[in-house]
Amino acid sequence: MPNIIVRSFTPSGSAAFKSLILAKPHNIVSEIKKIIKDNSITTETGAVLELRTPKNRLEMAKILWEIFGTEGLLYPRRRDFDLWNWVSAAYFETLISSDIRLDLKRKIGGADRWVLSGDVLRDHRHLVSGPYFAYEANSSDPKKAMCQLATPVTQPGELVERISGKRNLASGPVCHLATLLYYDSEKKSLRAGLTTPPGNPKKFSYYFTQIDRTIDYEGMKVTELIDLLPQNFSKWTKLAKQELSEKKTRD
Amino acid sequence: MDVLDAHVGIEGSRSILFLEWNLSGFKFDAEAEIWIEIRRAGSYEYRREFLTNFKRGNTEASIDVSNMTDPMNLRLRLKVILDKHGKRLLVGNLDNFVPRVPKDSNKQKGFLKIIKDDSLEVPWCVRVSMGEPFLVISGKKNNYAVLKEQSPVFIPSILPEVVRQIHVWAVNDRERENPEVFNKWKNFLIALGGDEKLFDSDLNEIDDSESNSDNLVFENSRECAAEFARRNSIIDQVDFLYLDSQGDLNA
Repeated sequence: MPNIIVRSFTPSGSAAFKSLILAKPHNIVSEIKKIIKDNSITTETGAVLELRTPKNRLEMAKILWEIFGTEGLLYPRRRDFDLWNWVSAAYFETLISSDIRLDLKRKIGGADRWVLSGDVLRDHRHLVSGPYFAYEANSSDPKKAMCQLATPVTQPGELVERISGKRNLASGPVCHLATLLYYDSEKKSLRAGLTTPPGNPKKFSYYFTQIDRTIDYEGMKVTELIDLLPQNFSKWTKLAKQELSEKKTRD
Repeated sequence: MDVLDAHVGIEGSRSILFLEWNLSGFKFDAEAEIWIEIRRAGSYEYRREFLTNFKRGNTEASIDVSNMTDPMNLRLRLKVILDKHGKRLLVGNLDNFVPRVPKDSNKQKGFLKIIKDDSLEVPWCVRVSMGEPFLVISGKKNNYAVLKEQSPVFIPSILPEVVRQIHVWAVNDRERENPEVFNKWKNFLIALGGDEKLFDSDLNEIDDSESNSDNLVFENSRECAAEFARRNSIIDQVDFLYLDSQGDLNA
């Protein structure tokens, strides 16, 4: 796959990109290709990015880590919205082509998926920066964050929405717990039926919101957190304990 | 101070969070622990630090927050935690408070001033005027505008060498024409590993041989530059003041 020189949008570049995403014209791919090279609304950054199709959010994060990670040239600019918007525009064609769904408008979806705006309630939905920030927040051991990184980039799913969308769940032992409950490390995919109640990600998120004022769960070990979960999670806690004991045996 | 006082201050090149608390008006178990959680607003960045327990009775702490992306934009949560029945019970909670920061820190004029010189033949150089070092950028071929636009990449790439050259100036500046500026730089360089003796003593007292003195300065300046480059986050902390043209130093 080709390497491209990374540029950044100017604020007007981001606005032009957002207009295209909202309008969704039939020639959107070629229009976006034009604006990412337009010198009047972009600036060079000096970094180079490999445009390859990521299998899932983890791979997307790893690709981006090369330039935005602690050793990367763009690390100091990793909070720059216009830069992320350019990167998502550059990845637009690759990601849209990798999405097996037929309806282009559904593949594109809402503006939050492609354009960062600084809205803390929505920015985790950004298809390109979302995986990167989930990875960064758990960079000491990204495997513990597979609940946020296992799904395809263009279809993050319910679990990502519930975990990445709440900052106190998105890293540390709670994130690890969500991974143990809902991610099958052997099959390298999310467990089937995870969104079905009881004990689904929605209830998981509600439960931790409920105990946030009474238990310091961020300071507990994942093994303690498993025991803290109420009975309606028992289907998943059994699998999580199994996962932990298998890991112990492997280690 | 009622219950808690928190502010972020700059010490040399570091950002320090200063905390002072007074929980004597409340009845907490002697074994209860006090923790602080630090988040950067609008991001997943998160740290938690143990402050003390009531038995010890400390009432203040300082935490180096230089490694956080934006130390002037933190949100804090103070927790009083009691370990009971295998659960970390939250028995006290003060959430989402913002520490005070130095006045107008966003608009603060930095101590490295950057000016344009249309006659400069090289892209940039360090020039000392009235006892103050400046980073001078050539105005030829619109270099200044281009480099200013590219500052997130350009500045970090040349800044270690700028720091090295300023170190050499600071050591050799015996006239102290501008003591305030000199002291700012001296403190900054010492925080980077600069040898205090070099700034304060007559170089001849350190070593009789001129070439040995030069070597000492050269080596120490390189160490400072290397340390500066290593601490990526420092680049975010040095403020820059772009002036429209050479000589317009009061802008």
